[in-house]
Amino acid sequence: MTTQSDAKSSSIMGSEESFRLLVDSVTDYAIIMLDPNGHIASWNAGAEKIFGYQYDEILGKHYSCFYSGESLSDGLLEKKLKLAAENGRFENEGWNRHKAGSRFWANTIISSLRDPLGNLIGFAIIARDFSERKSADYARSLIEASLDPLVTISPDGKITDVNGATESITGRSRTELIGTDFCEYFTVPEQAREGYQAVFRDGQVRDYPLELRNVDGRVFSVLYNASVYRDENGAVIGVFAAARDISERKLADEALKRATAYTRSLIEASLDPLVTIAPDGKITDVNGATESITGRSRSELIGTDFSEYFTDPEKARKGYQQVFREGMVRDYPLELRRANGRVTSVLYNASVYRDESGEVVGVFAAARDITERKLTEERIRQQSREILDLSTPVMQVWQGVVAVPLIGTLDSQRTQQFMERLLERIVETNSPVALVDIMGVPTIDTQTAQHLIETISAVRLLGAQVVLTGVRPAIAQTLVHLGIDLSGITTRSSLAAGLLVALDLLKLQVVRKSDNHLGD
Amino acid sequence: MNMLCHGEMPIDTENDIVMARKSVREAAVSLGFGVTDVTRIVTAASELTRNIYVYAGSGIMRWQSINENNLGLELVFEDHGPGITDITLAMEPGYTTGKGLGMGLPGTKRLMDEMEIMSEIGKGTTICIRKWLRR
Amino acid sequence: MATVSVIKIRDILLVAVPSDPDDFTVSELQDQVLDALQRYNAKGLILDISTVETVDSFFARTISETVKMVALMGGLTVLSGMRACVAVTTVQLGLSFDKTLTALDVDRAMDMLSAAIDSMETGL
Ligand SMILES: Nc1ncnc2c1ncn2[C@@H]1O[C@H](COP(=O)(O)OP(=O)(O)OP(=O)(O)O)[C@@H](O)[C@H]1O
Ligand SMILES: [Mg+2]
Repeated sequence: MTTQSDAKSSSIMGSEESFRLLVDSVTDYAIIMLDPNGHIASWNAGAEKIFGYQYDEILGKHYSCFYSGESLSDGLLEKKLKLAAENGRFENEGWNRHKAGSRFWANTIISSLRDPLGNLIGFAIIARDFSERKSADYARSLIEASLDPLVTISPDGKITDVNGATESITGRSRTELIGTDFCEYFTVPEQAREGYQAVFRDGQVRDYPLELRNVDGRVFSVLYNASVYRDENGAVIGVFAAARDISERKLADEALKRATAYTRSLIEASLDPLVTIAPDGKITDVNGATESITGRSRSELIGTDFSEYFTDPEKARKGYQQVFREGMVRDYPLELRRANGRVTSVLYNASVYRDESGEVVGVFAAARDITERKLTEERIRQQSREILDLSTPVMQVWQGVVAVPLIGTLDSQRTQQFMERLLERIVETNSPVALVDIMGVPTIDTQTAQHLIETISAVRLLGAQVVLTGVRPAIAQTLVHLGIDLSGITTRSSLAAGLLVALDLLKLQVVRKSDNHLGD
Repeated sequence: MNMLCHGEMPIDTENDIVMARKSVREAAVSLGFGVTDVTRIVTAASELTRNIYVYAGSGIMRWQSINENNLGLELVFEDHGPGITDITLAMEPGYTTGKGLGMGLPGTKRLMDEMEIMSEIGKGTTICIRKWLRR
Repeated sequence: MATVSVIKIRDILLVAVPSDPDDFTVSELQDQVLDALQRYNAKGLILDISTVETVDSFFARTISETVKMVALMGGLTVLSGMRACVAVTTVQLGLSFDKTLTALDVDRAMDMLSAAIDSMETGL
């Protein structure tokens, strides 16, 4: 093996990375509330952007307007809401319809919202726009940009699409190729058939060797990497296969110089930042993408320490040392610091490369910028949290009385948040009584009960008092069976009874109007 | 290490406990901890610096931001005092060899996300606590 | 060391505890409060901790002791104005301030104490 050929194979890995980048890109999300019948009750800016409707025009409409004809069949929509109502949550990916009529691919999470009595009061929808990863135009341009021959194959083995590189390696035009048997372009058709069948069976194949015959009779040795792709319902509809021309690599072995130029162009063509590192940790080469992500020129970068461009140089050092030790690393997370101080989160894939005699001479590393993805994930998490907050509102129900209905399962994190907010609201509203209603809590375990007791103690420290309401028979049984002592805590079975206790504590009395008159 | 903030101070006098609380509060606030978490961290620091002052006479407190997937604050309390005879016992609520409530160590564990104690009799004690920024 | 000021309002003593007191100040506070209780023959004590940022085991122990001592001298103590973040932390630390009266603010503490003292006197 030679330096160049290995460097080249890594850069081809880079073009796979580009495809993955396309597949992984997430750029938007919408947050929508529905009433129990599926009519839109609230609409955020993200929804406006994704679906194209203004707040005013969509309010009150049925949410079926997000879907096109095909997805509406079979009562699919009703089924989604029903499942969300039954399980609390329903997640799927599929086609949605933009106001303009165009389709886009989105990930949708539907959560049911319930009142303290467990009645369904509506649904919350979080939709993430995945249109970019499904957008044919964008995919097409990336596929065409690839120097590797790419092809898609249907389950019956027919070619459904090819790129320019496939046209040139086979010597046949796109129209000639589409609709024909994939196998017939190989020296051993049976082997090709086994290859794509393996993909349908196992989901993917790696470095599957085949010999491709050009129309002019020339034979090219190629290695295929392929995986299945799916339709809107998740059903496999075909195979996406990328070939690597290893006859070219053989050529490169003979004509070192030419291959160097070729490798260089491949490296430069990569959308991912690529870098080579010497055993002492110095940068020996970079591509254009690295220049732009670091904000520094090639000449500035070469000869400097690789690790100094990261927020955590020690971790960067450990990373390349691991490559030298183990031969490779995958998805190694680092934070790259740009010249302007901005920080970019990247995942590194790296492997060693060797000289003619097989000696390891350096590390070849490809980075993938995950900042945008990270940001989007962060925003979605933030939004989900806000929805969670909405589901445990602390309301002031009377001068001096706050009430909070607890709905759903109480984990430690949620109870913690609930406790902090309740305490803050008690102080803000100067309320000596807090009604905590646990009617909507399905089960209670020792941990949850412990949190409740902590909350009650903390409220007492503030100078206020908790009245626990909505203690259902099942919960009362569990509490006693768990040996949890709630004596000394005022409990009532209903919120209404709790309110009376609260008013009594405030030395207030509810009097019927007519009684008032009688008393006069 | 990416250190957004770090520092250390000796714990020799009673007033150093107050100074330690101030330094830790400043660090926790600058890292973006919420008011309740800041209070938790400062309270833990108060407990551990007082233990140094009471049981070891003197020692040192170090603090630094940490970054492993998530941002956090790490505090280290080190002394060359008598050491803790039985760490398991010392972690029991209510256990004290002094006139305390015996809540300092077990309480600190509950307030923080992580806690490690190393102690050697006659050599001293090192306690490391961490809190992660909640996401 | 800043001394704590003790204010007398009728037969109630009001003490504003400083925000970040050292141990000495906290111990001193106990002495001062007990002195003043005797000197003014007060019946009630309000410890306003609304500016206190940290309650650790030492602070909690000293305050709990003070409450017991005041009770032995025939007085009633109300702890007022604890911050929400401090309350959460105190409970998690495992401190309870058992049996200590609490109030949201000084006004409510005054009302509580006046009512209690009134009933004590009419009870006599
Ligand atoms: N740095 C230390 N060096 C030696 N012994 C220690 C040290 N820290 C704690 N200990 C021992 O561990 C015991 C428990 O400590 P902990 O802080 O939990 O309670 P405490 O200090 O006795 O009371 P409190 O903190 O509630 O006022 C102490 O009584 C002491 O014997
Ligand atoms: Mg202690």
